[in-house]
Amino acid sequence: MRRLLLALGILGTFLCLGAWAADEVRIGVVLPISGQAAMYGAYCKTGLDLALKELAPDMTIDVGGKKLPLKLIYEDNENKPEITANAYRKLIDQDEVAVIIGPESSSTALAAGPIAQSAGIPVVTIFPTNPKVTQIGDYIFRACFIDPFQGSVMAKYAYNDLNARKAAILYNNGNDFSKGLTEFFTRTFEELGGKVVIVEAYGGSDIRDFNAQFNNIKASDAEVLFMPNTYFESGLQMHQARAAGITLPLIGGDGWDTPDLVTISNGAEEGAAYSCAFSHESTTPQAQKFVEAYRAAYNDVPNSNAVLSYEAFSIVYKAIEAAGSLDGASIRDAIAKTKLELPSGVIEFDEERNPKKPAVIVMYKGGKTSYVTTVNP
Amino acid sequence: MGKIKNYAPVFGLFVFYLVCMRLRQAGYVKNYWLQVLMFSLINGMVTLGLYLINGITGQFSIGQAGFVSVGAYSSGVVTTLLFNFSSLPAYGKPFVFLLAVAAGGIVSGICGYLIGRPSLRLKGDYLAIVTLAFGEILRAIIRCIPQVGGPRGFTSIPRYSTLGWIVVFFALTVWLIRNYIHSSFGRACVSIREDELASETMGIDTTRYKVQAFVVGATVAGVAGALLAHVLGFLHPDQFNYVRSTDFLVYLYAGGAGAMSGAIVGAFILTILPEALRFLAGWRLVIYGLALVLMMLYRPTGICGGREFPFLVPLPRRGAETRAALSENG
Repeated sequence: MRRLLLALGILGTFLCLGAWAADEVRIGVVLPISGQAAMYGAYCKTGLDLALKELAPDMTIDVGGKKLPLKLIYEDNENKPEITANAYRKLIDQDEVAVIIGPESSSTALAAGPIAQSAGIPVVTIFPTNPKVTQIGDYIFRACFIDPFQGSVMAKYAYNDLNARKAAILYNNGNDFSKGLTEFFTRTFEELGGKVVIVEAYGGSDIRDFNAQFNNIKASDAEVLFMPNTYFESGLQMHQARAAGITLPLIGGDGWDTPDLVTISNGAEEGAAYSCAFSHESTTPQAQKFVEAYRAAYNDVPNSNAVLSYEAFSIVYKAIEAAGSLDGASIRDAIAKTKLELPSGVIEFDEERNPKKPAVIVMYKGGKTSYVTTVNP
Repeated sequence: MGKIKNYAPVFGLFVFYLVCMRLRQAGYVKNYWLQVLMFSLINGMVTLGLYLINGITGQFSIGQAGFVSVGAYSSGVVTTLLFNFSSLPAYGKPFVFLLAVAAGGIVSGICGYLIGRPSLRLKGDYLAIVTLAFGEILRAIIRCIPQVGGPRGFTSIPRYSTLGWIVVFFALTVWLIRNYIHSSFGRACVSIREDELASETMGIDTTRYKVQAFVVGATVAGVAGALLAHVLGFLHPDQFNYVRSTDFLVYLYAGGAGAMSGAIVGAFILTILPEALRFLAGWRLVIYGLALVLMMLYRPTGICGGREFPFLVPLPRRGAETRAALSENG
């Protein structure tokens, strides 16, 4: 019993840690540093670090004419809703941050967003594509585009560029991203005059064998196959689709946007096209400058997570400077008025706090991605 | 004198709540820690339910998160789909909230019965497999119901649970489980744990007692789930996967499966620890895991090691019970 009290005492002292200097700007960053999504968190951190190095090499920020020290407080959310709610509470109540960047996924953003909204702390989330996230309230923004936009971009690409009139879809009905893209692809494709002739679903990311679905798809008269799934599932699917004798063009969403896909699909990805926020071959000077800087720092090409967190940080940094104060409402107004030239294009927010920005279509050629076209909203 | 002493834990909890609220008002305790405390109390409730099944009755259920999700989703349905909570008058809210919590407990209890009735007739590990499958099937089902958000998650549940509500339900759970264990039901359960064949020979309807304990455990988990839903305001099916069920098992065994105190202390410490270790940044879950491993090596009986807080044992049995529990787990 005495030892138990001792342990509680030690815990208690931890709770009391965390007093801050008054004159500094604290930005909270919530990312999956551990857990299954830790890889995405690591990519996000590279983008944030690069933005920090470019915008604030001396770790200061200009607020209303005064140069204040800048401090980033990273919190792990393990990609879990409850833990994200805890991380937000800690950043808001204990660290008293001015702005929060992150989290990276929709389910965590939906659980934690209302806390920031009711506390009046502006948030720029990184990669939650569910439209409901910014509907939480006027303090919640996002750096990525939403599922409806991406689904309709691919539908237009299939209809206009691939001249397909009949589409097949293979999607994961246990994944909100996959389901959302399927829904909006179908809607736009049929509005354009095409027809989705076959929809095959599977339940969950632990499925490894898709032959039953591919046999049905092969028997249909579809002209294009849409697979809006995560890179791991899609890699397996590309391989099995080609093995099953399906020669249809394969298209997908930004779940494919990682260099790890080709290690799984093993050549079967040749000619497959997908939409994403950014291509490292994009020709705008902003994009090229970013890719160069990223390559110099990490000897790698940036993926979507890195680009979006770079942009999220840039938006927040510029907004605090423009607001000239650390008041939540004025920073929010400044974020809403954002007009910045960033790697993925000129970014402005619409009244739903989603960025109006273009998507790019990228195709796999010889194991590498190559830029096809840009689709504006 | 004895009467007053009997109610000491209730007073203690009440004083604890008042102290928390006072400290918050004075600015010493932030909402952040109150929220962590709320999660600890909720996890404590689920672990207590699990203690009744695994610790007292000696069955092995590994799908407790499934029951939490049943409770959470059913209560969410009551407050969002059946009643429009935000448009209710202020005096109606507590009633609807209580109704939602009750619905969470009842639906979860019914699920517990449906699962427990066929699988608890069997001896051995079947229950573990069935409960694991139950949790996973449930997740697949929730994903297919668009009314509760499907795979996108259940949003706009009113965030109505406060520390006060949770403390009250936690106290009720402790009271219920304590009295259950020390009643004839509990004694029957313990006898099943010690030797199922012998207790059957003594005339105990083993299936009935096992199912009963299982249903009570599931109901408690459902109530906890209902409270959780109204703290977070958002539910996602993947929140309740088998990893989450394992968390509850870890809370129970790390705390000490031989005593109620173990379930409570385990859930509290292991919910608070990852938050308290936040200053370690990327290393926090490493240290958390290391702490668990070291504890299991050096204190395999758990933090409480089968000892019970005195107030968790009814007065006439104090002393004798703790000695018995000690010798058994020693």
